[in-house]
Amino acid sequence: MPFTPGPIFNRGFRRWLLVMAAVLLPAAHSAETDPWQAALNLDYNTASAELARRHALDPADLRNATAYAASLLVRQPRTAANLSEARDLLVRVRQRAGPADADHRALALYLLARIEHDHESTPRLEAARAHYEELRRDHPGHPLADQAGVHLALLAGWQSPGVTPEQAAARIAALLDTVTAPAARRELHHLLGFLHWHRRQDAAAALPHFLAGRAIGYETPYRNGEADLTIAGLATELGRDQLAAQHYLTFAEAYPRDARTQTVRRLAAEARARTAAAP
Amino acid sequence: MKTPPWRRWLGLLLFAGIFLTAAWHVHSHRRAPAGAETVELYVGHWLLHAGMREAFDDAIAGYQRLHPHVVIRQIPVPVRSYEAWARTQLIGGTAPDITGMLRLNEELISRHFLPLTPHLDRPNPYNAGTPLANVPWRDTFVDGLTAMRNLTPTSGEIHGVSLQVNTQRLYYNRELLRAITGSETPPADFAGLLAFGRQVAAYNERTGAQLVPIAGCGPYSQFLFDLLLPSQTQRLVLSASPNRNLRVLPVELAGLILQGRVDYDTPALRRSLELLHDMAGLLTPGYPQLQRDDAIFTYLQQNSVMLYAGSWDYAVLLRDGAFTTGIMPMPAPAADDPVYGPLTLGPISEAAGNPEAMLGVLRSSRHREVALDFLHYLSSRPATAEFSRISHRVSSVIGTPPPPDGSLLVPRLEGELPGFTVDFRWFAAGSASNFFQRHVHGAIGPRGDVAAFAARLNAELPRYLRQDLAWQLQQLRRDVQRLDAMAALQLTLAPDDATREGWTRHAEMQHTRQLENLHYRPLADAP
Repeated sequence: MPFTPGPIFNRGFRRWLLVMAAVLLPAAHSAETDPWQAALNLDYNTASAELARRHALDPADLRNATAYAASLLVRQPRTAANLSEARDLLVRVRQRAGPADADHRALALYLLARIEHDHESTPRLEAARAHYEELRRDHPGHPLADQAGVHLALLAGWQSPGVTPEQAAARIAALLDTVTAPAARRELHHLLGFLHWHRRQDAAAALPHFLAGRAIGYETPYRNGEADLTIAGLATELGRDQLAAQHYLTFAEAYPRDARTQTVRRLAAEARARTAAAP
Repeated sequence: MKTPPWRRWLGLLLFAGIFLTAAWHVHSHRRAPAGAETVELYVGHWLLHAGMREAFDDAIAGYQRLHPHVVIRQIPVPVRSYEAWARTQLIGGTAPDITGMLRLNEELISRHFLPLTPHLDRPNPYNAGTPLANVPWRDTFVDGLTAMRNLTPTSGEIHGVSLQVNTQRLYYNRELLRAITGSETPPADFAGLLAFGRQVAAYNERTGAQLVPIAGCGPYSQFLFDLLLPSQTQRLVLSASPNRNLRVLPVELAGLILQGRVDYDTPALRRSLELLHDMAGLLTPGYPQLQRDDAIFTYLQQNSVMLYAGSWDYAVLLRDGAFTTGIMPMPAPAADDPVYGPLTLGPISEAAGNPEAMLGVLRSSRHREVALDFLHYLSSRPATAEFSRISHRVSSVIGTPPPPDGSLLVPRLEGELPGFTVDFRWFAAGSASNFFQRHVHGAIGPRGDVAAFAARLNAELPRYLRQDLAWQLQQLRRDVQRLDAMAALQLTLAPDDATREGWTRHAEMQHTRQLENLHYRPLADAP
């Protein structure tokens, strides 16, 4: 005999069960889900689901709204609808953030620029550039305005057809003059060094920028060491042996177990010997 | 005919019986150790080679003597199915408290494993009374856990420790070597190895034997070429490293080739192919189609004089070999080698090492503190000494004595920088590597034509390099997108959250990837 639901399974009861499940299960889940921690653990979908729930409960909370928009940029599967929802949320955050809430307004504008620059399947570079410039104009001195300067430098140096490397270097140098946050200044110095070296093969112009970036210091693992080797290599090509030896040795002391270290020590000794032999 | 009533219930009864038996089995299994205070830990790993399970058992027994309320069980899983097993267990929420991290990606590690970073700056308590007593846990490992940190670059956290370091060595049958060369002294350099190959051929002709100089197989020959061929590109690295940082990454080599700055007629690359040809001539014919067990069997059956294999294979050679095995590093071309000497800088450093036995504690473990404590114990000097002795493998903990008779398994820390390989084996989607491997047969064997192979690579490889480059840049673009979310989410953390400031590190990573993407994009897009 086929299974026949009894009165307990009638439609009204099933609807009640569904409502309770929708209310209770996410709540039980959220009790142990920190969406920010989930995101830091690269569990973006869990983070996004929880932020969506929090945003639905309190749409006026700009922090949740901004974080939810950010999570939509990485939620899987990536869809145009997610991107569109993120954009709408960020536009609303910008509108609702009061004059005193510069952080949310700046972050919303920054993310809108980033969406145009790198999240659309076909980048809208002019729209991105306009947002970055608006951010720099409206929030001078804000760390995100300085980060926008780094993205403008990437646009100028590598995404502006018809611009020569010399023109690009001049534009990036002008941006550098207006940026104060050390993290952004470091990146701009690196971009300038990279551009001079890789696109102009001008070690003399590149070296001061690599040195300036290294002096500020990089935050990602190993990058200071790689910068030391680049500086030493370029200094060697320019005949600046003392500088080369200094950075080779800095690397060797910081990374004694790197497979390159014995060679680096030998190159440092050779540079020192040339320095000693110089008239 | 009428069916007896009991037959109608037979299926249901059988099903119920099976269910109850299974339920009882699961229930009794979980409750086996008994005792309300008993802590039961599971360690899942793929380390089934000879000696490893015994070494784990010994370490577990040692820990349980110190902590009688803890019961630890191993779950050894064959290496071939380990990756799928581990992923299934992690996603299903049933992974052991301590799980091996073989071939797990950053996402799985970050999501499921406990960050150990806060604990790594403090000394390992089980090192008390040893020279490592006051050394931060991180610095008790030969590589400072650099390899473990490389697994999770986005977070910068370290989620596990590696207990051992792998090397590859040339093992040789002392008795056979003496019979052929009149001496037990193995060849000192690559020229000597080639001469040894000729001696084996002469011996075969003289005696009718069919000895192979070196037992080879597909996977181990790749290790061999990865080690040997970079000897020919060492000097080129000094002058051709695009960032002048003494390395040429696969993407950089692809760039150099696509820019027309090097090709397979460049002396360093051509010599690499010639070295591959000469080396392949010493290996078992048809080696690309053979597997590890084939190579080891060939050697143990004394059908080859030598075997190129991993330090992880040493124990099985000791256990199963009816002869004496000697160990030596793979002889590299000497500086005075007339053919292969001019382009080398000297023997290559093994300082970077290859981490092995990477273990981490699961976030979901019910006994995280105990699991972490056991990890401390496993990586302490007293425990690693015994572990190394029993497993015949090299510990990653500083100062641990090498395994008995295995001092030559220890990585050679002194040595020059490695050059680069020319087969793009580790590059992007593997299109260029597949092309190389599909056609390399034309360069090896008695009729191998290296010049023709080089010409083919020059003509056809760039197309595959562009495909790989496009794939790699697509991955970079995804990273750039992901890092936007990471930085923004950090900026929306509570103002007093200490990790909020980390957004600039994610922004830095993003700029690095974006620059690489934009720098190489024109090469990938070129027709």
